[in-house]
Amino acid sequence: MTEALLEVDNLRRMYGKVCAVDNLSFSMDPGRIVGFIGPNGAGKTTTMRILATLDLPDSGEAMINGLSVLVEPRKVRESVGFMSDQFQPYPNLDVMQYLDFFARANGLTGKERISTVRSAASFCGLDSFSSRPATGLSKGMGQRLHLAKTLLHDPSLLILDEPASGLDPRARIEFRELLRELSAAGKGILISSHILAELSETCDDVVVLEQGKLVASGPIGDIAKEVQRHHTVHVRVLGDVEVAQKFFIVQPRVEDLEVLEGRIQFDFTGDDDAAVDLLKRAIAADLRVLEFAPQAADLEAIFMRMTEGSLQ
Amino acid sequence: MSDTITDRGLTWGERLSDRVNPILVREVLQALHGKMFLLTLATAVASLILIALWVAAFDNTDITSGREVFVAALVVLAPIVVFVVPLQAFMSMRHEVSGGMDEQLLLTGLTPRRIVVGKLLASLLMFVLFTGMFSPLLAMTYLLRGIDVPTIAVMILCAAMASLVANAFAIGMASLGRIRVLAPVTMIVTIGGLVFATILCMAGAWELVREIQGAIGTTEFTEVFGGVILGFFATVWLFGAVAAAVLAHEHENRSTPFRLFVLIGTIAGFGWIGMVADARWIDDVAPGAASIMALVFAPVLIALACEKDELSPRVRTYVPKRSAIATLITPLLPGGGRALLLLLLAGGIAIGFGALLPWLNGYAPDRRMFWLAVGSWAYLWIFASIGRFARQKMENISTRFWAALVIALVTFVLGMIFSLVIFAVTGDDDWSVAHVFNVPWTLSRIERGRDLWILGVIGLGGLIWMMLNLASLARGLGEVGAASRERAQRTLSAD
Repeated sequence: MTEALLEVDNLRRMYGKVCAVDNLSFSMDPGRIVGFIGPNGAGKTTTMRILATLDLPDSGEAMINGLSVLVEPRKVRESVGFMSDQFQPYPNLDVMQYLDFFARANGLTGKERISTVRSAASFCGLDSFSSRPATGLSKGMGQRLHLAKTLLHDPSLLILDEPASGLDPRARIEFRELLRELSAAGKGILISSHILAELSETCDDVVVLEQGKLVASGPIGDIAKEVQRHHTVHVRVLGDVEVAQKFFIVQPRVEDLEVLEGRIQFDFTGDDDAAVDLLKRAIAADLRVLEFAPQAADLEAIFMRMTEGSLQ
Repeated sequence: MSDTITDRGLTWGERLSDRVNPILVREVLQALHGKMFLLTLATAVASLILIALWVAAFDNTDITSGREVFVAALVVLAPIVVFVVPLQAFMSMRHEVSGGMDEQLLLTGLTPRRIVVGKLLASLLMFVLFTGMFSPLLAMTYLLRGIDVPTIAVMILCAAMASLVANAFAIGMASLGRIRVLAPVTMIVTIGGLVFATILCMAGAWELVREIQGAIGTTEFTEVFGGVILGFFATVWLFGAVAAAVLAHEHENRSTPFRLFVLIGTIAGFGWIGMVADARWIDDVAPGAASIMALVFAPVLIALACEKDELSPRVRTYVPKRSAIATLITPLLPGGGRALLLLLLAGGIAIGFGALLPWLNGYAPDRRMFWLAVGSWAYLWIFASIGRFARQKMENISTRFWAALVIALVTFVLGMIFSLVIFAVTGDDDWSVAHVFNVPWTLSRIERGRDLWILGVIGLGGLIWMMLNLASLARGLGEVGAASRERAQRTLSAD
């Protein structure tokens, strides 16, 4: 069994009377991409800042590679790369000089520094932009530079706060590819984003927060199964829709049935086996079923079902 | 590909740059690539040519020609090293503390102290660069007669100190811009301060050169210059500590540099008075210097007393494992209670020095220094306690530290205003008990040795406040002991 890369244990952070993070616990393994999702004010950024050693919890503990973020912040920083949602490059420096500075700041020297800067720039696709002023980059290239800077000290855990915010679709896809490559290289990635479709294609696991509390955590598939006890089924039949409607409305586990543009749609509370049984019964009842489509719960559906969107 | 990253082997310059502060490398790179540098360089070159033409136009050089040209060079150099370079340092620091860049830096191996030191070194390098440009002209001034090498050397050293102080001031002020409401104020104060300093340097250059030329080699010069160097270090340290404190997170240790400033400053200040000040004028210098020290250290000590009493969890992890060392450094660790220990220590040094002064330098001055030390110390206990009391009453306010500090300092000012009102109403210009909170007036009266019963009253007040704070003082000490034991225990478990 692999040792957890990150273990969060009963983390709690108060701002005055507001509880930003409320007894939060979760863990993640190396090489996994974990989506950190929740409505605005759910405590995502606060948690990420605590994990990056930039804030302190009022109680609880977080361990990264077995090191406490409370007790050994300097050692923790060596294995954490934090990409905040703000990026403000220095004026009068080009892309390579910017990376070179951060490599020096991370204690890299000589040829090691030069080769690290080059490989980080190359990995993030910045080769052809190396002599461009860091302040003159597009948003997408700026995020690549931000990521390259975060990778310089070869962290084992990347904490990315809204990295895809403001990126165009192409830049987003390219950024996603970079994250996949990093994950394949064994790095753990904790990523928050408001673009759930984006996360669902990138992440292995999710941690869902609301009002500072953990709502769900684990592999997307497992959580989807939880949610799918309540999934939507679309049915299209040839022939009389009313007959089909009368059939389905009396079936067990079928709720909230409605007909929309000749298609039947209902909430089904059973699992996959129960859905197959229902389809068998429909065919046995001489319904000419053209389409029977239980909708797989995507991250958006999970999010909407699990959170109430309450703000604090 | 950038100039600094190439395929070839490392040049000696690149190898050297690996050994210096990364902030220094970055700041110099940024400055050299900036338009401001080119503009300043062009202006400096044009000024050099103009001065050279002026020298060439001399019909025959008289006895002061060298000094005139030297002062002209200083007048051109002053706006560059006291205004332009510090203003660039200000803008750079402002950029650092805006947009979360400082946090990105802290996630690397850089500490706030290294960041500030790097910036100061960069400004010193810029000073060397610009002064180097003027070196042929400065060498020529010697040949023109009217100025000697020691004066040139001392003046360049003074210019370097003035530039560093201006840079430290600019960096400290820029860091305060992190507090959003203060940002515009810091900008105005910085520009105003730098303009004022530049005008002062330009206007005073002639007189200063003349004074230094006359004084070099005398005992008085050594003593005064020693004081100037102490003042220079104190100012750079204080502004540097402010900048480093703003860069550090609130749960990190922001306090120790200020505590060291007070402790080392007290020892160095009294050391200078005792060892350097000539016995003939020690009676005048000692109370004056002690008053300046009280004026500088008092707000810092009151601010330290307004700190949160408890150590943050992160600072607890830095407390030394050895209990003896932990106890020894307790006054230097954050916390209001521990600031009172520092006050006890610094006050002890000041009062002890005041008591011993009559035997120093084999000369027996009066007791003014001792009275002044006791009076200042007692007042500090009173105002520090007011700050601490205010803080305790505002536990739910996030800005309680600043609020408590402001209340303590405003009480100080109100005391003086109240005294003035009493004076206006009664028309009596003699001191009375109603003026006891007009601290400068009361201290000057005590220092002159008049009505020493006042000293008794204030001293008693200070003593009472000290007794009332004994529990906090003990708690401050106890917490450090507990943190030290915790750390030792943790190390033992880890082993």
